[in-house]
Amino acid sequence: MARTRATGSRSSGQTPLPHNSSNIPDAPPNPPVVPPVSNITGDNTTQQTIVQSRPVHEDSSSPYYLNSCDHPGLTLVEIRRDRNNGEIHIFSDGGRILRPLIAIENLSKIAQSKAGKYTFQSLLDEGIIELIGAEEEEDCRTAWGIKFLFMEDKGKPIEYTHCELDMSFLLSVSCGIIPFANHDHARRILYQAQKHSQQAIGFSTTNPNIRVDTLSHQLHYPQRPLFHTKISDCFGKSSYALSHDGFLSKNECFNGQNAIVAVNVHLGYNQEDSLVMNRASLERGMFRSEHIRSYKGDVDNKESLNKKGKLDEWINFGKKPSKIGRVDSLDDDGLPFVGANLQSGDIVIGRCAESGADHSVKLKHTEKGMVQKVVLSSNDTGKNFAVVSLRQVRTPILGDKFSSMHGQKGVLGFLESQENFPFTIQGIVPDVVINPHAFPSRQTPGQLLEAALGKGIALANGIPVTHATPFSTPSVDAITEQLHRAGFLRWGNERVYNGRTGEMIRSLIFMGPTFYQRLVHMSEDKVKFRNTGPVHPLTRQPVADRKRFGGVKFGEMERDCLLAHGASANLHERLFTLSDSSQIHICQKCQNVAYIIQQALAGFRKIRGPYCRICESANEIVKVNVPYGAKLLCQELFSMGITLKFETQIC
Amino acid sequence: MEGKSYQRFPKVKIREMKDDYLKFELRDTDASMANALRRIMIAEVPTIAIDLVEIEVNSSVLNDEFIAHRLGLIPLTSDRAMSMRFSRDCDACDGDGQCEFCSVEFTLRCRCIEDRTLDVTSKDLVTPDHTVVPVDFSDSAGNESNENRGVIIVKLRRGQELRLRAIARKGIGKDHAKWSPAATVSFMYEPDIRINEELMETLTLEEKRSWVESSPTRVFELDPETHQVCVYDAEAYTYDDEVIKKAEAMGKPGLVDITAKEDSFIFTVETTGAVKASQLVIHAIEILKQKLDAVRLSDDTVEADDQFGELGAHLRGG
Ligand SMILES: [Zn+2]
Ligand SMILES: [Zn+2]
Repeated sequence: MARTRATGSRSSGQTPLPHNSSNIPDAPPNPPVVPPVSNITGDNTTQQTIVQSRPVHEDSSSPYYLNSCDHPGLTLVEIRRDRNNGEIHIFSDGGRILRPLIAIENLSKIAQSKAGKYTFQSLLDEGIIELIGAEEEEDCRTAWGIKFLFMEDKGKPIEYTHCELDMSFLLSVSCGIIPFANHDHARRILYQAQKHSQQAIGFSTTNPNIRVDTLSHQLHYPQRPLFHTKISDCFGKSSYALSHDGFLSKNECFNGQNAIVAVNVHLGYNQEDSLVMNRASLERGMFRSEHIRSYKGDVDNKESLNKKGKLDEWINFGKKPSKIGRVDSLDDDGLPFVGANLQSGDIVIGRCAESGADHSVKLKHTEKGMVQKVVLSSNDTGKNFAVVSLRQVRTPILGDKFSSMHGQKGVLGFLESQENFPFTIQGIVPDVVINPHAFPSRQTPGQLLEAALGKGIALANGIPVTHATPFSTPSVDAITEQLHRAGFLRWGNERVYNGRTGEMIRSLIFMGPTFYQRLVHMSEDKVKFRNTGPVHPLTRQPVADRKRFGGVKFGEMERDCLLAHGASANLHERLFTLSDSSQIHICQKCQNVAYIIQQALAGFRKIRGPYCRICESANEIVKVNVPYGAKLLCQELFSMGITLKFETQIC
Repeated sequence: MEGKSYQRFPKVKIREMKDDYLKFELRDTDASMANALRRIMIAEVPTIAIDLVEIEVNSSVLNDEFIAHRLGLIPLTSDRAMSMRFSRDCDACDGDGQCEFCSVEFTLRCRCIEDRTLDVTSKDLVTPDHTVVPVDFSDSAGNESNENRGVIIVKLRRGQELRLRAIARKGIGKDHAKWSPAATVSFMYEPDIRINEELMETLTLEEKRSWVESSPTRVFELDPETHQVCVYDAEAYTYDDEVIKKAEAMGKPGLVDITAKEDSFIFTVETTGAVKASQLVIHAIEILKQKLDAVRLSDDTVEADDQFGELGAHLRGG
């Protein structure tokens, strides 16, 4: 931590510097002092002596004075000496990342008599643990763990300045909560730590009722995993009731649930990373989540409009029969009542102008829900607006995405009834069945260890082995022994009976509680289908957007596939008939495009319909089918003065 | 094809019976029968559960659907369920499911006026019908603590209110898990364990001990005096094959021979409390019989007997 650095020893590389004391502008009034010395710039500075009678953190002359709880802000100041440029860098800005390390020089302050009485704060206060910032870290030589302090390099002890609290603290929060992360392939850990942990639906906020996020998700029954890691033990407040040893509190918020996972095939419904789930479990609330979307509608400010004098156009909330959607659920103020069930296409916020113009906010065809809340407010410029939040409660359906903590994602492939699953002698049926093929190439034995450890924790006799901290995981023997003691097979397998026939299944099935996450990618938000619908005004091809009821793209690869199959009629239908089918007229005589004369002009021959202006004739004109995209290209070329000739044949 | 009868006479022996727990033996039948019974207990024995909720006021932190779902999962005493009608084929109310023959109405009115949290529990559900009430778990455990106030539905803080009307209907677990009366239904084949005494005697005491301990459950026992290995509890064996593998690893294959008796099953039934465990089994048998009756041919198929022969007569109940 900062103030220590200002005075304490600074070592760069392996050579510890002499103790420096310096007058640093931002330093506390009485810079604490250690032996005298020259300062960095070469000038001599005043010497001070230490009078230490009070506890260090109360003593303003102590180097740890700043560390006290009375100066929470100052403890976060970071000071670094740049030897090359002869500079001192002081950082006090917010948002810097600081991490706790054990300061070796103060390690001796740990008193045996106080064993078990230290708190994190008291260790900070005494300078045994300090918070190191990014710049300061550059000059630290940090040991991985206590045992590394006693290791020797070529007979000489390595001079460390700091020591990690735990080896797993080199990982981020999202990575440090992965059980047995050190047993998994790095790629899989990255998937979990960077992607899946971000996408998992959990309980992301404790004040959902006063928030108006455009889109938010919440899991109905979030759970804590069965295992712990050192990092997960650091979550939550130390005052938290569940705090187990008065030092660290128990972990609290996790974005998932503990599912009983069996590794088995299930009628082929879990091929290619899909998974089979127990319908009864889902009906009992597993992975149920709510999704809240907010719609905003603002209205004009009467005063500002008055100046412009077009009161007629003043948009205000109000319920008026609308041509664009149903207004049944709206109250007279144009806002729906809480609890109203709005269907897609309904009006969420009724707005209209005096002139009768309809400015209502309508739900897209993919959107619906129950009204969660209605907020009326105004922004800084005094503009009034309303926010209506719609809520949807979703239970998992086919196509929803799930992931374990080991980068093993998959989509729901089948919802099976409870009675059809294989059951153990104890009557346990799996909640999730995943395919064994998910393991060999992905190299995530961590998940298997998690399941085996989880089962041991859930059913342990006595105090279970619960830690799955990366780099200090329990040995496989500890896990297998725990399972054996609990009355299970050492390697997590179980004898099961076929749920359909009642016969004993010949092979043993690996089963155990595994932490699973529900990811935000849900099939309800992605289903896309149409027979006919809107087309793009320029190309006259179907629009692509799902929100606008667009079509599914039939791209080049798909085209190649049909070509390879020789399915040209199908290809023609896909790319032409069902897309931008169109016609143009060609004069066979001059091979130019013939135009259609809508209305005979005065002075010309009384002709309507296709007519070649070059040949001045309506004979020999043929109509050809051509994609509108091609026709558009021709027209664009015409506009540039390029003519195109079309050779046509009647077939 | 001499009229050989395959009819068997299964026997049931009850081992242990509590209100919500039953352990019994089923003998002289095969896996299809045992499993049919298990499947019916899980998915087809009817119970009563809350199916429709009309929420009047809900200012709690949980939304309407959340509360409705929680209400649905509360087990209700369902001894009447077998004789009740499914609301979908109820004549009295044309299937709208609101009449006395096919539904039970509950009301819940709770408001927190104190400064502490109020737990709304299943005990707050009020109904005029005393035969269908939320299951009371307090008496079975015997610890009558004031904490045990039923299933918590939601917690209210000062000023929050929950007022609703709920309709409970008959249903089966196949339609929704809330209607499943079974917490756990499982069976195992009765194991037949034969120790090869001769081979066993070739083991040293230490080997015997490690072999006995290789089983995760306590199946075998080493007599401390005679140093004889005997079966302590055959049914504790989970068919995990651990002892067999251990014997092989010790170079003594065939040390023990364990087979599953194909016609004896040990059932463990636990209920949610909606019906008694014993009733659950009886209902399941009843339903299985009804299903078989549906398969049975009607009497007017006698003329087709030249086609089906004895089978037809058999299916008619002959
Ligand atoms: Zn022409
Ligand atoms: Zn009725």
